[in-house]
Amino acid sequence: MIIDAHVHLMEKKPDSAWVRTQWPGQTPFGLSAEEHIPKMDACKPRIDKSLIFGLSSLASDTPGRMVEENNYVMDVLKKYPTRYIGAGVVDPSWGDHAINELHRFVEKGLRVVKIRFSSMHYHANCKAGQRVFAEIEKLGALPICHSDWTHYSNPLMLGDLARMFPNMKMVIQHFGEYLSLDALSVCKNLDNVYVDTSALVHPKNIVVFMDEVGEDRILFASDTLSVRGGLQPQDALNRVLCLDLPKKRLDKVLGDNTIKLLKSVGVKA
Amino acid sequence: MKIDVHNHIGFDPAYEIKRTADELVKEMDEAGVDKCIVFPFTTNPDLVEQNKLVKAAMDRHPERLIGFFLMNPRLPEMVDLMYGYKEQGFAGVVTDPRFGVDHGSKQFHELVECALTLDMPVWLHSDDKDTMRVYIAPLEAMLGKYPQVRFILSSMYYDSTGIAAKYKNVYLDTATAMSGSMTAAVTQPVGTHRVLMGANTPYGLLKREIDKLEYAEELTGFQRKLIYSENLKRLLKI
Repeated sequence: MIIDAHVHLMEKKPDSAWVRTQWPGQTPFGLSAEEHIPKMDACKPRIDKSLIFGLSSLASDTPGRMVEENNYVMDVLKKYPTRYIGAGVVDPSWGDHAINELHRFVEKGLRVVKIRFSSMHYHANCKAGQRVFAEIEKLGALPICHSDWTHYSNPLMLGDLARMFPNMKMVIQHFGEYLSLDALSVCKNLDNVYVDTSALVHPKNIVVFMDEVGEDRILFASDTLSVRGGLQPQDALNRVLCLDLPKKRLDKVLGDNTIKLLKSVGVKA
Repeated sequence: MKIDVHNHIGFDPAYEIKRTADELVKEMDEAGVDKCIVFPFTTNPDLVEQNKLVKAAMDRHPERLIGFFLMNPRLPEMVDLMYGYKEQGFAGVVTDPRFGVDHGSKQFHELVECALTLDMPVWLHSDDKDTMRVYIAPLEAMLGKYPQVRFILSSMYYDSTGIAAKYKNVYLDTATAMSGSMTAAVTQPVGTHRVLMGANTPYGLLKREIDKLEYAEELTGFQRKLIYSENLKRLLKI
């Protein structure tokens, strides 16, 4: 089974809402489930399932934004249960509101939690980050965190947060982007940390990861988020396929590792 | 007279730091600072509630504190809020890239146009140095598009000195200068007339900001006077 562990879906906005906030001529942005499923089907090899979550609520202008997007993910899961696995988004800057929303969506079955610390310019290991992680641990859910080269979400900051919760697994998405060597060093030292392959600049680091860290903690992912452009699933697949990995390794990265990881928090892929 | 332009009050949820107006005024008294510009922690998204704390601080210490309100350009009610804050006596608007709105976006330009209409300066705050995903070209285009608007640009911004040298409607604060000599170096390309004392309390210290400027041999007494207060008086027309 092939699982894309990183896809952003958004409910379609009416044109009136779009033009109010965008310059004339700007192309509407976002991706609905109905637009995304044909993309999975068209991939060679076909993508069976995707792990989905919201986008605009990563830094929420109101607490309601998280609720709105997480509800959309739950609606999509009801409509397409065989194609999607859901994650809820939390913006830790909303304090108690964020914690309440975390409990709400986990209780409703979204047992994976997406956080993007650089969206709200919070250092991952700050007090608010620690508070949300402590709640996620209590709930037995899985945090998946965007990484990049900023002060907020770089692999070392995320690793410091993971170090404080050694009994909870977490995913460093994007393999650290340009800081993939930093992500590698974090994963060598922390057994509870996984990476995904989305936006990874140098695909050969997938092999390095499997050789030096292990074969079981790396997940195929695309970060697909837009109808046009964005990081498209076929391109993300090609990033892995171009390595001509042995079948056992390929199966692990494309789906088996994700199935096993999700199972560890009670999610059946 | 000494006026500091960079002081947060309210609650920072990232690090769970609280700062009251009374605490700031006490620090001002100890450091010999006459007035301060105050605004919320930009890490706090609940800006309506945090702006209320700033308003209460302005009312409690009208001779000492000048309030700027925090604004998120994504809020649909932004313009109504801004008009309301002007009526309440706020002197300027603060915004920050943490709200996720690009300087080239329509929503950001609407904020600037509203500030222009209300005759308020725009404080472009930031808490990041160099790594943030702020593209400088849209920022420069925006600064050039609205030459009538007075901007205070955080010295955190990438190449803030270069930007301020190019756009004459841009003022810089001193918060990120590691020494007074670094501030003095800015005066060559930018001019002393657009540099403002800013301590970034409660993370920074008012006393330290003054020490930095006092111990910079490269600054003349006249230049210090400009940085301490005269530039801000001109900027705010007070």
